[in-house]
Amino acid sequence: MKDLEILELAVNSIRYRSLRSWLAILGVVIGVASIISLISISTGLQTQISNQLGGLGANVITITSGGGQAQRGGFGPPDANTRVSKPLTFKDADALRHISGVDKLDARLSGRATVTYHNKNSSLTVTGTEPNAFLQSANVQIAEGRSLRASDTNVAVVGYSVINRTFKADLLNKPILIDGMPFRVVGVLNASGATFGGSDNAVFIPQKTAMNLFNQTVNASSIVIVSAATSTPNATATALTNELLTLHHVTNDTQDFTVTTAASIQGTISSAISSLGLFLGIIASISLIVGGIGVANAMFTSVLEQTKYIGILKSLGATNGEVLRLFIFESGLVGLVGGLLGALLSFGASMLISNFGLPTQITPDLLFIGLGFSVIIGVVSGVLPARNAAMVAPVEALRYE
Amino acid sequence: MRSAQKTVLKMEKVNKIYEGDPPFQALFDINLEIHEGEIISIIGPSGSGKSTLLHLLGCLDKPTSGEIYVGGSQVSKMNDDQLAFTRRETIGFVFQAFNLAPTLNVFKNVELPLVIKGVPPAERKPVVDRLLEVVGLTDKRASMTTKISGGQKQRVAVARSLVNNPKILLADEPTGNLDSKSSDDVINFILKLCQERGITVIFVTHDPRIAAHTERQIRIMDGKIESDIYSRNTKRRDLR
Repeated sequence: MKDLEILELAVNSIRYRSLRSWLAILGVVIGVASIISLISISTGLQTQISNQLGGLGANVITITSGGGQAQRGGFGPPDANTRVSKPLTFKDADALRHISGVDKLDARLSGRATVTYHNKNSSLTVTGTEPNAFLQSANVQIAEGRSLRASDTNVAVVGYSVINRTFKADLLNKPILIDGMPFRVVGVLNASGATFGGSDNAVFIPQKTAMNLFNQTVNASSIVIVSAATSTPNATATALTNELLTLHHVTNDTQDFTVTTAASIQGTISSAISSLGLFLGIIASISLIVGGIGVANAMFTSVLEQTKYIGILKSLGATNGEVLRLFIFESGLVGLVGGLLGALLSFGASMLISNFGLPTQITPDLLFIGLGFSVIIGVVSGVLPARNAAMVAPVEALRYE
Repeated sequence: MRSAQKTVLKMEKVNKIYEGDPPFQALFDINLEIHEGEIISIIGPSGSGKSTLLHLLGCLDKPTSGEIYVGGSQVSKMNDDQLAFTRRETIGFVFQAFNLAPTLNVFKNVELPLVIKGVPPAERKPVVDRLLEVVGLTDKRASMTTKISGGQKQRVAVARSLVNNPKILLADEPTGNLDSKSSDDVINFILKLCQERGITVIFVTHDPRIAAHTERQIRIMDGKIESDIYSRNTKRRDLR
């Protein structure tokens, strides 16, 4: 008998016992739909967070004052053993400029300031940055106008949202006031979309001008380093840490600054999300296994019910192998149909979940894994009943009522 | 004159013991030779072993001891697959309980042996259509077998048993569940079709009316052949 024709017989059997077949299929549908949609949550979260962290730039290293272990995987506010921080200084920055692995260094001075345009005031983060390092250290691109230049004084580059949300006006080449000091907007940045370290709501001005504005010429708010292509961000971060430890006369234990790489933050969050994904996957797998048991149960009943039919097939010359395949195809089909419907359902489910604010993402891989898994569950659940069916002696099977 | 004909089935010292507590011996040292084109009835009371005999002849079961030859091949040397191949190539069955596949319609039931044999669909259709026409079920071809009468079911079973053009047709109480009119129809179809094709027919039956239309009657009693009679005086073809 050809496999295609065995498949056709299997379809006929499934259709004949339609209610029970659908119940078995439903078990798989729920299992697959929950596995795909739950994993889509963790994939969605991962993608969302890596997009948001993208604002930091992969090769950007940030040094801030205050102790912490972020470089080695910590994330979040400094913990209880934070030391009284000794501020970072522009002198520190100059000392770090020549460390190997440093491509560009941007000693920044930031603060909240009132930005005024046409009588409208808004309190924004204003950052003094070194013009030659700015675009790379902030990992941004100019949408309109130009970037900051070394010769600039009272000019500003503003983030996307400053124009589109805060002032809702085209500020390019327009005068604004920052804490009463007049500036001219020379450039607008592309939307970064990032929420961590994003530039969308920021105003950037030259470092020297910021020193005047904030009346601060000694202490820097942060030092942002762009790691050179010849080094890895981690190696550069280690070199910077060692140099600063020496400069500040502190040890690892009394460290009064924090060196953060984008990778370290991303790694921490990713591993947290992976654990979440694993957890959700396990829960979903349980439901798929329960679905599989449902299929096995349905198949055992099916074999029992069809014992006579097995006898008929055998009396007509079907071999044990053909009967085995018939039942495996039957359960595999239940798995496949369940998998397909489950995959469809998971699209609906993940849209629903998205509406509740959790990001979801269904990738083709995930669909194939879900489908493959359901077929395997179907086949595996069918193997034992099918083997029983194949082994029945024809006379016994025919006698079965 | 009989011995000049080709032997299609042969049993030598066949014993069949069903395991159990206590074990039950259904057949004792059966010797039997059946020739091509013979129309035979195996008669005897319930529990005499006639169905067991039929199952052994049909390769549905294996003897405990002794030897069975189907078309010259030794059954005891066959594995499950070879037994299946022998059934699909050589033997057709008609059962008392019809044994149609409830999942398939009339056409597909008749077609099933050809499907199992691996005959391509285009070749199957004319054969099945022709047989359905002969048994008068062309208009029921798309009906499910659960929706037709007992007589019609058995006609489907007869068509199915012959679709493969077997050498031997084994009919186990084919009229046991039918009224007399349907019984006559079914027996007529079997006799007509098998005689046309030179198929050996073995009926297992209680029904003396069927036995009366066969040329050889084998009586089984307590697992032994009590008598094996050739009667020339058969009333074949004029059952009505």
